[in-house]
Amino acid sequence: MAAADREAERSIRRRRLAALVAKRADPYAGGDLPTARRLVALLWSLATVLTVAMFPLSPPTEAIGRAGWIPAVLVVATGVVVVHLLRDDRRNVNFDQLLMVSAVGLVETAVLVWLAGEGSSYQELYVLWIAAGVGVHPPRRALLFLAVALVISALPLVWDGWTDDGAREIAAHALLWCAIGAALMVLIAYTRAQRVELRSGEEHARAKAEAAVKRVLAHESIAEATRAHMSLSELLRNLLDVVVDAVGAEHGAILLREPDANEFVLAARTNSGTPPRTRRVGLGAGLAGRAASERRAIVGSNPAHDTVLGPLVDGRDLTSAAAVPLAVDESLLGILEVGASTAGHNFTDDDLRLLEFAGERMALAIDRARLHNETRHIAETLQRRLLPGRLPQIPGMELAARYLPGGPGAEVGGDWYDAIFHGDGRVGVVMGDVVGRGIDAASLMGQLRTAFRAYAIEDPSPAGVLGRLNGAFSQFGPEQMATLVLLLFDPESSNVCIASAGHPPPLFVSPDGSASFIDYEPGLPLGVLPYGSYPERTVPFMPGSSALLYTDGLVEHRSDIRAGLDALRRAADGPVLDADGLCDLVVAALLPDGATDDDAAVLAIRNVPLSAERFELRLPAEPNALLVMRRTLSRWLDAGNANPRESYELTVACGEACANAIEHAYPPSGGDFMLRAMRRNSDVEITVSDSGSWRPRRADDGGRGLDLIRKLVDDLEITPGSSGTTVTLRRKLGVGA
Amino acid sequence: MPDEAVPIARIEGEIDISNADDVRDALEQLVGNAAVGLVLNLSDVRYIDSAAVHLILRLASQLQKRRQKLHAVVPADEAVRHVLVLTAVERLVPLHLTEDAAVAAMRSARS
Repeated sequence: MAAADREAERSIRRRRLAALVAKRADPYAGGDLPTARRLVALLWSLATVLTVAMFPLSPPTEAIGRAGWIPAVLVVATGVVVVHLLRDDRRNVNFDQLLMVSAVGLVETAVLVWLAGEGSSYQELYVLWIAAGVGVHPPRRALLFLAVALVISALPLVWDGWTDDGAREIAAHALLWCAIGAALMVLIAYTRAQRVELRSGEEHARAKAEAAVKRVLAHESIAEATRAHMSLSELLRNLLDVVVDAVGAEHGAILLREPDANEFVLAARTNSGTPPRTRRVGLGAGLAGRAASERRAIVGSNPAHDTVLGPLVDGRDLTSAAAVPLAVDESLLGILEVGASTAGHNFTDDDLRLLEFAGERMALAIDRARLHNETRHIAETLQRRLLPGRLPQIPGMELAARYLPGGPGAEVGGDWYDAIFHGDGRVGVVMGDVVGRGIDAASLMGQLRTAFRAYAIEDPSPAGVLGRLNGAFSQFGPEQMATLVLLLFDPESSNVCIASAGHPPPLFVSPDGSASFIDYEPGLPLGVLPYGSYPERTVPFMPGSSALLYTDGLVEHRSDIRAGLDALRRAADGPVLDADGLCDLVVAALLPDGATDDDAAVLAIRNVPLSAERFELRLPAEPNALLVMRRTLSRWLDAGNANPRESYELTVACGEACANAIEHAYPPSGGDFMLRAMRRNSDVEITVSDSGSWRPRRADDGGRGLDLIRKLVDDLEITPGSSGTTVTLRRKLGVGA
Repeated sequence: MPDEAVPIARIEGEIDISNADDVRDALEQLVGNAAVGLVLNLSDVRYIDSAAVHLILRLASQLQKRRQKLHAVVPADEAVRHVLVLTAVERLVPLHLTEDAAVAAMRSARS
């Protein structure tokens, strides 16, 4: 051990000595400027003091007599000034300036030597200048200085003439100074080399410490980022940027596994380079694929293009690449790849550990996001299936609805609505809000809707329906609650009956456009008390009026619901719109940026007067459409003064034509058919057109429908066509059939 | 009190293609093998169309196969009666004004 240490030390010393003559970029590297400055100042002070002390011994009058005192005084003055300047900390001095100052000192001493003549002791001062020049400066300059000093000291031999004694003295001095100079040079150079090494060692250690701190911070920010609430793709992007930066790479990509497949698709990548052509990687293919199939981190140096497949490499030369699998428990969710294109880059073990750590966190985040999405998808699907797909339009009654799910991150809410056409022509419109979120709320909403339909069909009166619903609510479980509002329209008498269970009040818009909330007594929300009473109130609902139902999601995102209600009323007040227009207006006014955390539903219903001359009706080709058709047609006929027998017969005739369209025109997936009725004076013409192709009737059906029609109307015309069939019925009113 | 009771079906509402099949199924259940036939009381039916006519005729023909009869009760001057007349249903299904008349007619025709 000791031998190895000694060997190491020797090699260090050799290295440092070699640094003596090595050419450096910065010749003064390792130099300590403040100390050098103080040294030079000290030497100057010493020189000045000694000079003054030597004046009595060797007055400077030999060469030019008494005038020699002047240069001598100047020399001392210079010394004082130089020392003062060097000691002034505010003044910046560099090494070259110190060299010049030392040279000045050398020259001044030479002057004094000349002034004082032979035998003066000023020559001893040369050693101070040599120390100042050689000790402070790098070897080459120090050697130069030494040479200059030797030349200057030999000058007296030149102007005084050569003497052997003089030459011997100068040679002795020269040897002494060379020895001192060489020793100083080596010492200083050695010290400086040591200092340079120390500094680089320090820098290296500092860099390592910084890298470690950076790594720790990277760990923290990865952990932090995976906890953040943002969409999965944003999360992956942020994580990727953090990881790529932390391991010193430039490029990164995250691939996610296709469900039930062995392929991985690009899900996020760093913003470097052109978008890759390859966005898919198969299991086991290339660096990434192998990381996935072998379930471990894989690193490649200068990977060939066929080793690193996929998003990371297209068109880019990588010097090193690494991939880690993203897995939770047994299931493989994706791959994380990083790559660097700087020369000489290599992924260290620390880098790999960081990648693995990041990979674990990413996998957890992906898993969590998937679960959340699935749950949300199920709840949304459930809710969508439970909301009526389409509200039928019948002249005389316009219906429109809007549903806005809560914003991203919000779970599915419990808003729902429905419309029922009762056998006697009345229309029930309901809107409700189940307390809660997610799958539970959606399924409760479904049960509630089913129960509502069952009760409403039995007996449509609102108070009764709410009472029975409240009774059934206890079956749904404790702590469940829902609000509900039910309107029952009677188009024949143009009024509406209202009952509410804790739901926000319906808004009514009169034919002249003024909007107001009806005053009525609400009952408690469903599920609060086991037996509830729900008062109902009937108000007129003249043709041209509209009513608007909504849930609290529309009005409650402002802190005060009264402000929201007021805003709703003000928005609806104004020129009269159709039901669709009213819904859009209200949504745009109250939720201009879309829904907030809560979902919101709006339903508008409008009593539209039937025009006496004509109406048009588009109905789905379903048996239930017949009831709607009959109601509307008989109302229209009665309003046009048809007698009951005529009205009935025409309705039957039209019903036959419609039944044919429903039964024969379309494949089971269905379609729509159009009914148009026109009246000019006492002539009524009704057309039923479909856009399907009538199938041939089955034998046992017979042509009874058409026969019946012919007996009930004056004229029957069937116009088959390639794009559908039109049946036209004509009858004159006021004449016996 | 006759030995066998005659089942009487009272229908209320409207019959069209949306419910004709259901009505027929329900009616078929009512007639046991031993019954003389079925009396169909359409007094409270507000609307029928050819689908309803079709169901009545099919019911009648099915009962006929089992040697059972179908009679209907329809008030006079009702729109429903009008349709049944127009479609010649009354040739297969006797129309009466009251339930008692229908039951009596069914029993007497037996012999």
